[in-house]
Amino acid sequence: MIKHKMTIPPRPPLAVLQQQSVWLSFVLLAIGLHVFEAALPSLGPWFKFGVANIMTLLALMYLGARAAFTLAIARVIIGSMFIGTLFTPTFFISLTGALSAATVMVIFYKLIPHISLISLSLLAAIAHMSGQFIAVETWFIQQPAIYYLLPPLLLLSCVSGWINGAIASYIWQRLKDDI
Amino acid sequence: MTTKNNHPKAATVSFRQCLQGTWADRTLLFSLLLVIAFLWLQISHTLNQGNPTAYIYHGDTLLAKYPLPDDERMIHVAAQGEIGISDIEISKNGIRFDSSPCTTHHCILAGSKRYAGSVIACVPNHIMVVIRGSDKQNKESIKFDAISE
Repeated sequence: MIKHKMTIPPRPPLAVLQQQSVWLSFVLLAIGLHVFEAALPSLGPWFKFGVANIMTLLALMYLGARAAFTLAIARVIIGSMFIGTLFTPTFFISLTGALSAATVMVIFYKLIPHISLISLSLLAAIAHMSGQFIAVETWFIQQPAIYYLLPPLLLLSCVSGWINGAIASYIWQRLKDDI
Repeated sequence: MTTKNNHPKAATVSFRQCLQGTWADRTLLFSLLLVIAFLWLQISHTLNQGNPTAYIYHGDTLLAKYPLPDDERMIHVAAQGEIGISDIEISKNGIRFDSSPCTTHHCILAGSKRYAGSVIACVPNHIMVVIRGSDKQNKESIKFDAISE
């Protein structure tokens, strides 16, 4: 009888495990916010407050760009499973919006070292909305007329981006020394 | 745990202070609002030309084009989309989705639209309706016709 020698993989350093646990808790919170927002009555077609983007912002601040991207993707995929919109047009539009927002956040965070969370959130909200419209125009309704809807929704995005940025800033101020 | 951010630490502040933002945030917001307002004006100017007309599209194809009626007439258009037929109603009150095969029914919930630049889109069915042209210009042209008579 051949005896298989059991090899135990080396345990990752505590700092890495802590980072992973923080990332996981952020993902779970983001999924919760994503599902919660989907359950709320809509403020109108095409518009959502985008509270889950707060977690992407915090992930960027605490854990870096890669964590922010993976969080944005994970929360849209898992959140869509809960809502029942996985691989529907809503899913692809939502994923494009979340990735656009995360990309803009990362670019401006790297380019301008002292940029505030409100500015980052404002830019991300604008990118989120614009990205969604580009996705709709590219894949679903190939009519530039769809952009007629964009200016009023961008105005609402400014409001939601500002408030989300303020919330993220408040949480960041409170938690940055604890995590 | 070491964090990866390079941003300076600040004293703990209240939510109200966070909500106020910095001068840089306010400048950015103001600039964005200016750009959005400019875009909006440009789009409104483009759309307000001609009589109010409803355009119905499926993807990149124009399915139908109807001027909004002035009388009590009601036009129903059956627009074939990706997942079925959307019933679109055109009346003097505007244009609206009467029924749609989509599950979310955002298009039906959007209600009736009659102003230039109004758009209702059913993304799952790839159907979109747009109104171009303004009532104001229409009335002015009627007045001009009366004078010329």
